[in-house]
Amino acid sequence: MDIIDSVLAEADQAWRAYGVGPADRTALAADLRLDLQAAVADGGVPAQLIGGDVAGFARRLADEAGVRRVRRDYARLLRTALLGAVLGVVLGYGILMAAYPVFVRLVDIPRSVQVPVQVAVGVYYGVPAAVVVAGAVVAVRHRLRDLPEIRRTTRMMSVLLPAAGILVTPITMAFAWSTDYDTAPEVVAVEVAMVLAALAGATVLARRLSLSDRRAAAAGATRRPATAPGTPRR
Amino acid sequence: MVAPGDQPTDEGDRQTQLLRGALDMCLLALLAREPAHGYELVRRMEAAGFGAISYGTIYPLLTRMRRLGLVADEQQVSPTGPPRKVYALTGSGRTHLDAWQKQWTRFAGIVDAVLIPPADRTTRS
Repeated sequence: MDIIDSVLAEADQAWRAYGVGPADRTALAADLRLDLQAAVADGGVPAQLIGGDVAGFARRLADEAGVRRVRRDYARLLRTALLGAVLGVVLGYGILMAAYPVFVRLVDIPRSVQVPVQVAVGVYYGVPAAVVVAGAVVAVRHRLRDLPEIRRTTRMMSVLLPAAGILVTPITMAFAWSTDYDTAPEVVAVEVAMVLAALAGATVLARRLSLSDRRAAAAGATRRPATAPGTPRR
Repeated sequence: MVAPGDQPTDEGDRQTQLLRGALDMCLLALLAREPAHGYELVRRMEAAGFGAISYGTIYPLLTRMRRLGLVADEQQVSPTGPPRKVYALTGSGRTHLDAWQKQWTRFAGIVDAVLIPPADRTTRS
């Protein structure tokens, strides 16, 4: 049975990559296992039966079974979010440069009022950061509107991206402190990479979470693919 | 498409192309005779003279036919091994098979009429 297990593990990996949900993967694997066991009992060898291209077989099987595939499109999502974030950086910088002198002229805070430095720093950096997050969210919402559950994804992004930013800021600052605030290109590159990694992780997590609810709902609605006679699912 | 001047395609490729349009019908016909599991169908196809058709081709096709309600599967206890998932024709499958069979007969007749010159047909009859 080891050979069947390894074939099924390879098929499962292909189904995952193909966007087949867990419930459908389980059902497809259970059906295939039964059939392979019968074939092996009759003298067949699983690897030879399916041929070398187990992944191709698995994808074809998923198509023929009519299972719903969920398009995760992480690469496209990350590219679009990055594009939106870069535009947000430009816009945020522009807003900061334009608005700061205006605020200084308009808002004359009496010397008796002490503004905590944290608040000042929060506003100074928070506004551009919010514009960056908004840029990423709007870009994903607008450019990837063809993807399923994209509204839900962007809602999650608007929560998770700021959270990731808040989380990674002290870590990045600690790293900067540990290098004595070195401005060597490689040190700065590491700091930028840390921030980008956190934001990318939050974006991927937002997508995963928004799709996992959809999958759970789909799994509840249909337990076994391809078994209901006469009810095509595509 | 065969370009002018091309050599005739490999016999195996030609056979595959011909089989592509008839494989589901042949599987239904074999299941109409007797229910079978996936691997058994592979062997029956081979025994019928189609040559080696891979399980990787048959099994997804069976899955599609099950989705469309043309075949149904049930687990049968086997005295010699694990339980077998055996496929059998449904009512809808039989209806489709009858229709496809008639269509095939008509189609094969037309192809024959094109391939066999009228003179030969007169001689044969």
